[in-house]
Amino acid sequence: MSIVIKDLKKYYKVGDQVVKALRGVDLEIKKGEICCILGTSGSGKSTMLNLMAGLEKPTKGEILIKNQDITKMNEKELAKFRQKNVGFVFQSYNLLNALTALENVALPLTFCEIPKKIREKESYKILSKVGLKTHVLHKPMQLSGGQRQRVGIARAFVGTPEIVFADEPTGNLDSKTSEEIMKLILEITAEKNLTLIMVTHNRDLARYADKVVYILDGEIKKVENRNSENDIRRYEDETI
Amino acid sequence: MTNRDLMVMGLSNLKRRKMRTFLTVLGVVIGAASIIVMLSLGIGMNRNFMKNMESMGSLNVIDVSPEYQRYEEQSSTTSDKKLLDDEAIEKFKNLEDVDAVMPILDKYVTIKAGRLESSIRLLGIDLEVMEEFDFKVGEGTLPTQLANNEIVFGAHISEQFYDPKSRNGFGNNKVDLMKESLKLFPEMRGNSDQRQRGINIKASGILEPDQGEKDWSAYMDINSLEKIYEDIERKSEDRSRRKEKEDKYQSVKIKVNDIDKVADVSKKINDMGYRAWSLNDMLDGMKKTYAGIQAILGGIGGVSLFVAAIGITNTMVMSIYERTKEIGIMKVIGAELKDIKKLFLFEAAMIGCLGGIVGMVISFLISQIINKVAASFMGGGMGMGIEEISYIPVWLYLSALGFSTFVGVLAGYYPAVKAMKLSVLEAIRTE
Ligand SMILES: Nc1ncnc2c1ncn2[C@@H]1O[C@H](COP(=O)(O)OP(=O)(O)O)[C@@H](O)[C@H]1O
Ligand SMILES: [Mg+2]
Repeated sequence: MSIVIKDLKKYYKVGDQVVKALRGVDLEIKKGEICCILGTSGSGKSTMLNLMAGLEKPTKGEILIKNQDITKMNEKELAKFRQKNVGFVFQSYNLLNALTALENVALPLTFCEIPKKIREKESYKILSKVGLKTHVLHKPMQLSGGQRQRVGIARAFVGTPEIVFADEPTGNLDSKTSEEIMKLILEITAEKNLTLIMVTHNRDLARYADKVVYILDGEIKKVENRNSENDIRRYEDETI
Repeated sequence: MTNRDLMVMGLSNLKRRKMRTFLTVLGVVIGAASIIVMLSLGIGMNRNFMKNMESMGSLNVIDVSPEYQRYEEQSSTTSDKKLLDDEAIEKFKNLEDVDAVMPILDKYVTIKAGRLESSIRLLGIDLEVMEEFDFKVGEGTLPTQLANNEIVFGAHISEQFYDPKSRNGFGNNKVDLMKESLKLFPEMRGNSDQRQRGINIKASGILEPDQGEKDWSAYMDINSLEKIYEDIERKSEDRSRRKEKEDKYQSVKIKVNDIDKVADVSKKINDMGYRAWSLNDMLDGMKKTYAGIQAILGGIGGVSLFVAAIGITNTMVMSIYERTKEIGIMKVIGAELKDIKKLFLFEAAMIGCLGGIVGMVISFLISQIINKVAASFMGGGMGMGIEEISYIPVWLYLSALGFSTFVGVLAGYYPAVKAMKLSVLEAIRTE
């Protein structure tokens, strides 16, 4: 599922000032690509990601996903679109504290009306994959930051999303944990052959992307396309 | 999201905030209970009133009398006057919802028992429909067609006899009508012939007291009574008197098969040109009064439920502020708008429903207490037709439950829409 962005602009009004978070962005991301958005803080990375995920409306421009312009959809259609196609990993995990790890992961499937038995099985499977087999009944408060993000990843990838958005998924983690988390994300992305769009301000983490988008002050400065074939291997070579 | 999952999630949300849920439910409990109890008082009152009315006479009987005519009209329009005759009786019988029709010959007669006599109202009726019109004998039997000149007396007639030759006529002159030999002297129009010889009659029985007009009347077969008067008229010298067109019957009683149809039938009879009257007419006015009282009582209860509704809205709005982030997250990871809305509506409805259920139990207890206390005030046994002053019919329980649930939904509507419309990003950024 490819994503095409045309002349995307997003302006915020703050008082009587206009903040230009995106000043006209064009970009194409192919299906199955791992795309990394790099830039300094405040450069407009999150804004771009949120627009692509349909979490807010652009001031101007088009975002075509599966040849559908999501900027034309209403709230209801967007919600349905997110339910069907999109997974989301947050920097601050955003788990529901009242629910167990298993329930948190099962939540997207619950919204899809998947029967309880099946969604619990699926959730358990993916939690095992992220290394939390023994923690499925823990509440978020009983987990470490790294473990919480593993739950967050499991929740984003459970079921059959076609695109996963991740906004600085390792931003709150130490470097060692960051490496582990990043490895997990890449592994599952490759396994499920889905499109990953990830924001980071850490240059090192961009090594594994097929495409790196450099963004500054709301404009794309450079797009680097890389050979995608050996990404995972290269990653493994370097870490082991 | 399936409704089942939605319910599970809603219930666990309520459970998570036990104290607040409890207090909000408590508000609804008070509201629902006060509505039920207030209305139960009104309903109890109404029931007691109905019972009293029923003891006064049958509510489903219509009394028909001839059209009322002013004196001046009498001579000119006599011929147009609708008469209460056999033709009219047939028409009444053919009306819809009419069970039985009883034409009545209404006469005043003097009954003599030895030295004592009494002037009473003797009504000629159709013996066959007596049971339908609730004639119940306390002693003896109802008169039969076979025996001639049998009379059944009202319960209080025996106390009405006096001795015309004695100075203090009304002494203790109770007559045992069943044993004494009785003579009947018809009272004729104009002067009564003092020399006429009495007609021998026999008491077949005494009616049960019924606190109504039956207590003070006597009844016999209409044909026998008619014959007595025809005989007298034939004998009287005034045979040439112009037989003017007059009502054959003085009144007719009509029994309707359903109390609710009485007004309809009454109207039809009035339209035919007769005068219809029933206890039900009186009841109508009283019913309006009671409806007013009922509305006031219900209103008092309604105010407390209204306050409870504000409580629900408040709780749900608070809940949104508390759960803003949660709502935002749910939206990002795939909740549809209707899921969010339904979730909030369900939680509010549950508060209303729960309050309604507990309110039902509480109001049952309160109603019991009220009745116990009232019973002790009235000196133990309730007796005298006064029954429970608070009465809760099943429909009141059920509609109170339905109503409080509905109030919950209504009160939850605004918060639900508000939650649904929360902007995802703003919601997710709140802490
Ligand atoms: N809701 C908002 N209202 C006003 N300004 C905003 C809002 N969101 C983002 N901005 C501004 O837009 C610019 C880009 O923000 P953002 O996309 O969050 O940057 P990044 O994620 O790259 O750090 C920043 O200057 C930020 O202050
Ligand atoms: Mg950001």
